[in-house]
Amino acid sequence: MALTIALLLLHAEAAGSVPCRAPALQTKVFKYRIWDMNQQSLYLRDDQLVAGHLQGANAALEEKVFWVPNRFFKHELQPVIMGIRNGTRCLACPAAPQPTLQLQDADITELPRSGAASAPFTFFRTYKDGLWRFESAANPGWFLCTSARAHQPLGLSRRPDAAHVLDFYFQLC
Amino acid sequence: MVERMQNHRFQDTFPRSSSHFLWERMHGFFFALVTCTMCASAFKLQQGKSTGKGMALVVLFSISLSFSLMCLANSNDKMSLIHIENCPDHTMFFQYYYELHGEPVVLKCPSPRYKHVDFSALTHNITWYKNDSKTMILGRDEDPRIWAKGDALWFLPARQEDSGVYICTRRNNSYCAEVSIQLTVVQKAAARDIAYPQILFTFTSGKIVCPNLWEFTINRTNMELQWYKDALLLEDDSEKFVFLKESSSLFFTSVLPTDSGYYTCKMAFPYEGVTYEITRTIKLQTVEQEKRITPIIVYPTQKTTTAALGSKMTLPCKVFAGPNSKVYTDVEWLANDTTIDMVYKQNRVMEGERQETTENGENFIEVPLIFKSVEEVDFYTDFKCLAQNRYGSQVLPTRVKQEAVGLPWYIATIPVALACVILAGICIQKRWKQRTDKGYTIAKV
Repeated sequence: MALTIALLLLHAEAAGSVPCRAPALQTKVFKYRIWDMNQQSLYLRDDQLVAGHLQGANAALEEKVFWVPNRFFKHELQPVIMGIRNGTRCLACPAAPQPTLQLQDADITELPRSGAASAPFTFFRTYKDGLWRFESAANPGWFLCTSARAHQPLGLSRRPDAAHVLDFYFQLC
Repeated sequence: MVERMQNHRFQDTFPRSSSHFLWERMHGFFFALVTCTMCASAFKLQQGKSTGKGMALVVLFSISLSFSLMCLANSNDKMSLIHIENCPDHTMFFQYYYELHGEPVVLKCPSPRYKHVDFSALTHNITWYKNDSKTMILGRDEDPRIWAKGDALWFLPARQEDSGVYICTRRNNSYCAEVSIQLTVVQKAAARDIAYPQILFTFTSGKIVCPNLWEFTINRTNMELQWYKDALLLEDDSEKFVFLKESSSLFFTSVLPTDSGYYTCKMAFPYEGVTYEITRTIKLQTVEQEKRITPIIVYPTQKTTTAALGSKMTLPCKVFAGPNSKVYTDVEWLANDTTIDMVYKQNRVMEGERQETTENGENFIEVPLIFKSVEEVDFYTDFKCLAQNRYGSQVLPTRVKQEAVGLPWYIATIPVALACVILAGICIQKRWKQRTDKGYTIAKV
């Protein structure tokens, strides 16, 4: 009887003979460029993300956006977590009546695993005619925005108007 | 620096707290004391043996070195002599100003957020200096070309020789911060070297923007811009461009690859009877519009995959993402419509690393689903591979089926099974014989 079991086990091993790589979770981080429809890029000033036109050598100041999809939320909403500095400083927008945008120290590859706690770091993307909008998951109806006036901080707004730009180009570097 | 420092002290008309004053005086006294001690000890040593001379110098040097180190340590604490005299905070502004010779220029004194407090709302006394000059830049009455007004430093117009570092100092009775700003004024011929890069996508609409005009448009209702491409004036009547009135943008109805190049926008700036010209140069790059391809799952092709209980297994999902690598395609596995991470907290089943490959210029993405050990529950779970990009998505459901018992398994077990049957047969026969014997005996009794 023991022989039977041993043979059975041996056979089961043989059935699972598809080569199995060392387990690794899907944590690919994408590096993108983001700029608003008024051609303003993002850069850091006093630990704040600011949008403005960068000229000549200043163009090197542009912050690239590192992002990962957040699988905790419905994929139809195209949820993303974004950060700068290789994904070590993440864009956060905790739920509030008047939400504000912050940069928080976090590991962008770890955040998607934190379930509902990842909501302040998550933005739902919508795409239209080459431009993207980013809606705060923790603050429905609030979108990432730049100011129509140059060199003002990146913030949040409910709707586009003369002073707020909600549409961004978002491209692989 | 020392001269400027003294100058500052002279200019400084704000009352300072007495503790600061006391500290300064004590610092001065301490300095004098140490210097005297050093001198005295050096003198004593010199008076001794003549061979002690070198030794004395070494001692003197080491004392002065340690003293300067002490000063350095102090300056790190923002308590040094120099910084008390001057500002505790001196920074170099990270952005450079590049401007054109003969054009109006405005430098703004940045308002730093000191220890997360925004000081821009507070009233400050702002002073401007050029790094290599000792005199403070005053109002327009003093110099009609370069003057300070509020937080701005005006050049009307700027000249190439104005290039250099300008220092603005923000000060009130509790706060002081200095910022150095680098200004480079170039000849108009070098305008392209200081262009603003901007990007548009071909065969879409979009706009380029004449940047950094804010200081010159305050209190102005009409803002008329002239746009040039490679020195050629652009006409408003063409269908290609829309000149947005009261806006600093040039709108393209449909961008063509040939639209890339240098654009110049010009704005007239009248100021007290003189009209100046403001020029900005934009380097427009046109990027090919991506092809709209929805992802296609090429593997798995079969609806079911067989696996034995307890076995390891990998289910790959391979997705054709089209020839354009610029579009992000998300590839994900789901178990009963839920993310794998959420279902298998112990990672018995998990997604493997995303692999991106190119075959003949076409992009493929592969994400495997890895089973460490197949369990019975897997045979009743709906697994789905989901591929999605901004243009659409495709879902491919797949199931894991328990492996049907195959021929080799039979062959391997037949002798054993036979042996078992024979053994069992013998046992049964023996027992039956015993029972019949017993039955006979009982019957007999």
